[in-house]
Amino acid sequence: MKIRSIRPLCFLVLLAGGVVSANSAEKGKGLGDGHDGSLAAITHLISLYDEKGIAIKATDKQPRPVSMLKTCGECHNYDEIAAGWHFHSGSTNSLAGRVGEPWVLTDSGSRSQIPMSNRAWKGTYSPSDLAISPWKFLKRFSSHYPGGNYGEMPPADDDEDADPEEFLRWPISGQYEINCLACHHADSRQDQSGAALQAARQNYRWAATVASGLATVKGNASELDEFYDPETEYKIRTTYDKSRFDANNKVFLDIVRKPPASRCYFCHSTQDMDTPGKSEWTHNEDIHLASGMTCADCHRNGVDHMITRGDIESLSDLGSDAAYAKAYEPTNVAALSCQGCHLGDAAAADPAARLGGHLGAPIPAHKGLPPIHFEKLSCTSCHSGSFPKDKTGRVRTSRIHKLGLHGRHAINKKLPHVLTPVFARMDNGKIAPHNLFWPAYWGTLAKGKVSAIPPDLVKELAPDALGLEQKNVERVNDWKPLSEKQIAGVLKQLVGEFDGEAEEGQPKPEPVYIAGGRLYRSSNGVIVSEDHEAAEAYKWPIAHNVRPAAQSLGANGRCADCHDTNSPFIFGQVEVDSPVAPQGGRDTTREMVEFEGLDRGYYQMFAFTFLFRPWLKVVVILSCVLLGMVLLLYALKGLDAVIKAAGKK
Amino acid sequence: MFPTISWVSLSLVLVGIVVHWLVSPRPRLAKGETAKSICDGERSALAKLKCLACRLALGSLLVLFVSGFAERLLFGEPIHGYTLMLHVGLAPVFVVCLGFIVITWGQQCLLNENDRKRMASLLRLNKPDTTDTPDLGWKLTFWLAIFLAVPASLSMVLSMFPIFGTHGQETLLCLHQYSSLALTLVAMIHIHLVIRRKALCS
Repeated sequence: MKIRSIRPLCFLVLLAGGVVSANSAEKGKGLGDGHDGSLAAITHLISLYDEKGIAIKATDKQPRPVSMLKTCGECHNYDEIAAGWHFHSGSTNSLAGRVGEPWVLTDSGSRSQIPMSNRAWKGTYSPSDLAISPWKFLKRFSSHYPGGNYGEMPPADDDEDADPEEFLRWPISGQYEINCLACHHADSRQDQSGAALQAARQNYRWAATVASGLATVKGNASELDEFYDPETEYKIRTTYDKSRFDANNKVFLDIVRKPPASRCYFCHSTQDMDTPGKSEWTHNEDIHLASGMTCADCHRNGVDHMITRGDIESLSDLGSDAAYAKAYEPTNVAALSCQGCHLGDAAAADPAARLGGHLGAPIPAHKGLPPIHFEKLSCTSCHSGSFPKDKTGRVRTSRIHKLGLHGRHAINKKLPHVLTPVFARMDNGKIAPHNLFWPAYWGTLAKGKVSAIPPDLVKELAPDALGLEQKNVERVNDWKPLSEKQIAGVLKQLVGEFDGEAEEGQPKPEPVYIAGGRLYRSSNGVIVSEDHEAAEAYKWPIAHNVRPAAQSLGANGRCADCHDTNSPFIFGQVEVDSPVAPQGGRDTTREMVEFEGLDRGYYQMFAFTFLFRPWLKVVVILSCVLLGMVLLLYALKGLDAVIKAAGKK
Repeated sequence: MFPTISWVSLSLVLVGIVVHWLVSPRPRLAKGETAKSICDGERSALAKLKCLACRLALGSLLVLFVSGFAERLLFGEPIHGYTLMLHVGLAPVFVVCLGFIVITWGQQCLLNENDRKRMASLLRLNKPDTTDTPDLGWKLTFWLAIFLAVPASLSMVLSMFPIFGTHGQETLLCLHQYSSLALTLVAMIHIHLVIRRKALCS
């Protein structure tokens, strides 16, 4: 009887357990994403899995590379992480956020440098506008790519527009999954240059494994036949370091929640071209890092990997993109901006964060600085970037110029010429230092709007006019001069190619060339140039390196750092960079005031008044002393009269 | 807050002046006294200079007031641009003129026995004697204006030195605004009393 009644009970318990277990398995996706409050490091002695979810063993004869999706995804929510800033750049519905550094499509043959982004930043083109498929994107930009998104976007089976070659190449190269180890692997053996080399070979599937130092890989996917079968053939051989596996085939990975700065630097370094190469050692790093902080102290994130961008202003003062502000929940991250750390942010949820001094940040006195400066300038204006000089300098950045690649695949990329510091107005109306380059590309003009033509297409249509040598064209990585005669030649070749794009009754698109802030067009066979919105410089605000306080503009009452008739901050010259030689005495520089939106005449006069400021101080102080002494004299006389009057009574 | 206080205080003072003209008893001069303004009397070089300094001070105060308050009170914007330059440029002229005036005119503005009696009477809340001197008001406002000119000027000059931080700068700006407002109000009353006295004596 008892047994009879226990059986269904046991069945129900098991069933309920099964349901709960299934649910928790589903919910367990992200098991490692929580935080139980312990600040102790979590030891990652884990099994490695290949892309099929099969555990990798030291004894495997034909081991496959580690899959981040399967290995890290075992405990972490890969999909949620994939929605973070670093990994959704390929999405067309990604948040725009503050204007940032774009991907730059450079091509010296066609004299093109085109800012690309899916974030709808003004002046950028989407990769799809330039016929850049995910595959082509990887080929060009995967050296400094965190994986995910474009790396996991092979063409759909029914995609009729896709290049047939891509259908064949994707399975050979594999997907470029999010490389979690690129940031979170603190092991000194982590080598992103190695990942870049694998990416250059189109060994995307192997990039993370090689970079981590777990294995070496021999073979080159880009050289394999299109009909190579990765399931049955092993021309790309993975050899694991067996000493890394323990008796249970588990591997210790030195995973850290907060990535070291050196990991960030692979994609986020900036090289000052005024003193490159052998003089590099003379440079100082960001004052925050010099004082022992790391990037992730300010640039933090939760499991969604929406890393705070250390917004240089209080988030309540972003001035644009409500969705961006919403994604950040300003009250939570209010303390993670310059203002939040150093001054406190009134919008912070935490009362302590309203006081400032976060992470021991010194609270600046800003002695002698009228508060109007805080309304007109961002913190970075005075504190960030290289100290302004009469003319802008040049920098190279990791992602644009592919810095940090070692050995034979290192490239000394020079284009685009990125100029800095350019003081320009941000969306919120404040002036901030920017990096800037001048877009250059061939395009079509219709209804006042310019659409870019893919550089490869231009080269295909007008190789002779461009003067392309057939040998080693891509090895020339700096501007090749372009004459107006050549421009005329190319435009002539392009005329007629885009007629079909015109809607009925609309004017035909007119081929144009954009460079150095000018739009070149053919007018009755003569090349004329004019200003155009599409030719405006592309610029993005910078916040690093932050200089020491003593090296800030205006520190210790040095008003003349900015309020001087020769101050680079206001009257500095911004280089206009173009492959086209300037004609008719046109300037090769532009004044900083143009970008700042300031009245040159007014600021010249204002700076001039500073010559008389010492006199003003002396005159007013002496007058006040005089007034004070007279007042004191008569006050004493009055007191004398009062005392005498009181004495009489 | 500051614009509201400014509008209210300016309105009150203007209304007060008008009411004073209309309803207050006409004071008379003490025996033997003659009505003199700073520009009256002998025309020596010093007198001409005094007169010039007085007019310059009044003119510059007017421009300083308009440039400093107009944008703030009418459009809610702080002083900036060319207006700011004009404001800062005229400030030393005003202060220097005040220094000159206080040295050359201060003796005449001293409170005499009659003024002291009237003040004592006012302090005791007695009904003013109509035979009393009419000089107390303009003399007091003169000294009050001189006194207020010191914080109004010093607050801005000190902010040009790397002494005060952001909070200090804001306090100095606040001090400048309110002391300037008070200076303007006192100057208005002073001018009203001087004009009224002149009108009575002529």
